[in-house]
Amino acid sequence: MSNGFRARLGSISTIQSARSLFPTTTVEPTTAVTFTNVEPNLIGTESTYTPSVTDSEGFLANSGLLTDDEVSDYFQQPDEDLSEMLTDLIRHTPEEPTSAKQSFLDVNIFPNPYDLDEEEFYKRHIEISKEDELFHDKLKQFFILSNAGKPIYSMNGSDEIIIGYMGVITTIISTFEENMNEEIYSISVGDMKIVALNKSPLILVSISKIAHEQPNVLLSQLNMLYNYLLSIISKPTIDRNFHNKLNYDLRRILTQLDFHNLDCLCMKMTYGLTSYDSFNYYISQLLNASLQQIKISYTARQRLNKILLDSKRMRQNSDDKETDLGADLLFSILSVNSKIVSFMKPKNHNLTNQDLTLLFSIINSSKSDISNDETSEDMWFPICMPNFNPNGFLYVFVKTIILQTTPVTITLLSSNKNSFYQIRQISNYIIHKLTKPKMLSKLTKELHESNTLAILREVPISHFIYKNKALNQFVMSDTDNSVNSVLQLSYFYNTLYHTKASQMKTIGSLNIKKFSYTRWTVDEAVITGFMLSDNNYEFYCLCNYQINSKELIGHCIKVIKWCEKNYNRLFIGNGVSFT
Amino acid sequence: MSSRKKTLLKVIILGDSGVGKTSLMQQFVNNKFSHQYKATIGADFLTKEIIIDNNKPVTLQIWDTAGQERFQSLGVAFYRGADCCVLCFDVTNEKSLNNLTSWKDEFLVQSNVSNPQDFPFIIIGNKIDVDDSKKIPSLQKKLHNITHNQLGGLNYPVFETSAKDSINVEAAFEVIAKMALQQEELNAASGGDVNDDYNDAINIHLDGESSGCGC
Ligand SMILES: Nc1nc2c(ncn2[C@@H]2O[C@H](COP(=O)(O)OP(=O)(O)O)[C@@H](O)[C@H]2O)c(=O)[nH]1
Ligand SMILES: [Mg+2]
Repeated sequence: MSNGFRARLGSISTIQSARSLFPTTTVEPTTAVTFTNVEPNLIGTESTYTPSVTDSEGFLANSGLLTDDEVSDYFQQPDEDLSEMLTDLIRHTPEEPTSAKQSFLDVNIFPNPYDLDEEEFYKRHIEISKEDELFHDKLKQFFILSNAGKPIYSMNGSDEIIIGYMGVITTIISTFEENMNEEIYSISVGDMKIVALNKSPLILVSISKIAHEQPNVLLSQLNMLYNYLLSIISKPTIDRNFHNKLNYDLRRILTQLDFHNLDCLCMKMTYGLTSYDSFNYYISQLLNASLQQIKISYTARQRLNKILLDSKRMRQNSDDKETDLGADLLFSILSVNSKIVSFMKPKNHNLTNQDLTLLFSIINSSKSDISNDETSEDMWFPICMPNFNPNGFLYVFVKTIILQTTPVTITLLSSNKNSFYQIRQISNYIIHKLTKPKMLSKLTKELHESNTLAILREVPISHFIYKNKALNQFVMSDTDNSVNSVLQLSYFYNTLYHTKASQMKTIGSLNIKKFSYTRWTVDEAVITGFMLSDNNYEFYCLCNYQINSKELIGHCIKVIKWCEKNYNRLFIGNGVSFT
Repeated sequence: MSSRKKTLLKVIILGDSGVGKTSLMQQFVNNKFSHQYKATIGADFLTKEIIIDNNKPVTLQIWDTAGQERFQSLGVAFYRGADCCVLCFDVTNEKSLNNLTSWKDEFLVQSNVSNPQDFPFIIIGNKIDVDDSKKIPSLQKKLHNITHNQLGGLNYPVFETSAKDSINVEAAFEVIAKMALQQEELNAASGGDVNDDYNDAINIHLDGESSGCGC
């Protein structure tokens, strides 16, 4: 927890008056405005709607919230008008973010029955603990067990305490199994949700007391844990070990690193904590395994792509024999903090986003600390990419080099176990090209600037996400990785994402726009969340004060236009292919 | 390279209702004896750690029925993946002794273990604290017949115990744990874990049609 608890909430700060930790105001999202039942032609009636906090047909026209028509208006302006509007908006000087130390506890994301302070709360309810003492206080549990009832992994607690539960779970699941042969079981008991995934001979279970975690989210988390196991040991290995040996203890072939990685995954999936890439991972999963991108100029990207393609064609002459060094190379990835800058793949094959995020996750947690060093050691390990092929292994070469201050990771996937020396030569070639003076200075300058998206200086939006739907890739503003910020941002975006969207009236257009709007009130402070989407994009943003709806839409459109204009700089698209 | 954790053994206790299975488990794990136990779901689980041969820690995950053995419906999860099995009878109840063979058969059918002849079983005759007058007449002879019957094949170590007075309970569980651990070590030695099998390389035909990848 390097960032500490007292770190200021970077992007979303609100005024906090002196008061107890327990705010009297409710922070239920003032539930989204939805219009599903509204006649599309009820123009002018918006002001007669009464405020509603349910997801019924009402909306809060009088409190600065959007009306259907207001939003629609914006999209029926011809583009000339739009540019005029935008000039207006540019003149708008963003208000200084109010500096305050709003705590995640004030947002009532989690119940706080013992009235603990942040640090105590984190220790008692959130942090992973293998001691039995706090087992029942944890908001989240994950279990992986064999269907004989033998524990394989538990997020919290010791064997002592979980072994009994494992027995109970197996017994219940097998009762269902005998009766209906289902793969998924989900029940809710009070404020607790339990989801089990039966991947015989393994069973995965998640138990959550976190209100905003929906069963479908828990299920995808379980699939992620399962995919992790597949990626390190593959399906055939699991099956072979359990074949004729239902009492097999899978822990025998898992290493300490695997248990550590599973811990990291559990924290990432649930809270977006605790490493530098965890929040990005959380958002990526929330957006359906979308891949996070990094801004870089088109020419720079083209050059990087060319380096990857050239490296694939490398040959070596020795003893009158020519060897094709890249013969077994399948995928090459250049990335900065898990964000892909350049990607090369075979023409007929691809890696899914799920596989790529899993790959990055594993690379990150196995990476040695390279912060003081120029380059990391070479890593070479087998990995199964479950969506690519659950039955076999690819071999990954990973090396991180520091360009000035930016860590650039080279990841090369080969189909051949014995190709380490060839692949390392390819990596050396790539490093050689990257560190040529001209390339180096251009690249470092660009990567340095990409950290902050310029557009944010012009709008009073504190945080945004723009996702290109066709590519399933997204860009997002920077986040300070403090526990406090991450817990709030993940909660806000999660709520916004799951808020039912309303469809906008668009005349004669097939490009249907949808939006939703959510507001959180924490004492006197207001946080506004807004989602806008059409066939091409999804846009989410947070604004740290009460903002006039017209203004807000204007700002959003401005950011969206900026993202569209910078398409080639923001997205890697499909990467480059070799044939 | 694997993180050799403590070995975990799944122990299941079988026998007619009322022979004292729950009492034995309670005595072994909690050093308690009570006349009333109840369980709410299909099985009850207790855990106990013991040290075998002075240096091998094992965790026993003991599965007890919730009394439904009366109806002979223990469900597959109960038997699945057991490492050893304790067959119990009551020294005052002859029928429970005669039923041992069917409990063993039931176990082998349901658990589907691969080498039944090597599977670790022990037999426990419980309630030896009661007055001799109530015990099965010529118990030793009958017991001998059962364990040495070529056909029945219950040739397993026998322990006479009292869950009530805590006689021989620990010794019995230690022996079964030791047997199970030995079996486990044998399995590990022969064939062992499949975990260095990274040779399932993927055959990719880069110029041909999509193949080798599941996408
Ligand atoms: N005298 C005596 N009674 C016992 C002993 N073990 C169990 N009992 C009693 O036998 C009855 C059945 O025991 P229980 O453990 O419930 O048997 P289960 O149905 O096999 O689980 C209870 O009334 C116990 O108190 C023992 O060692 N000695
Ligand atoms: Mg009982």
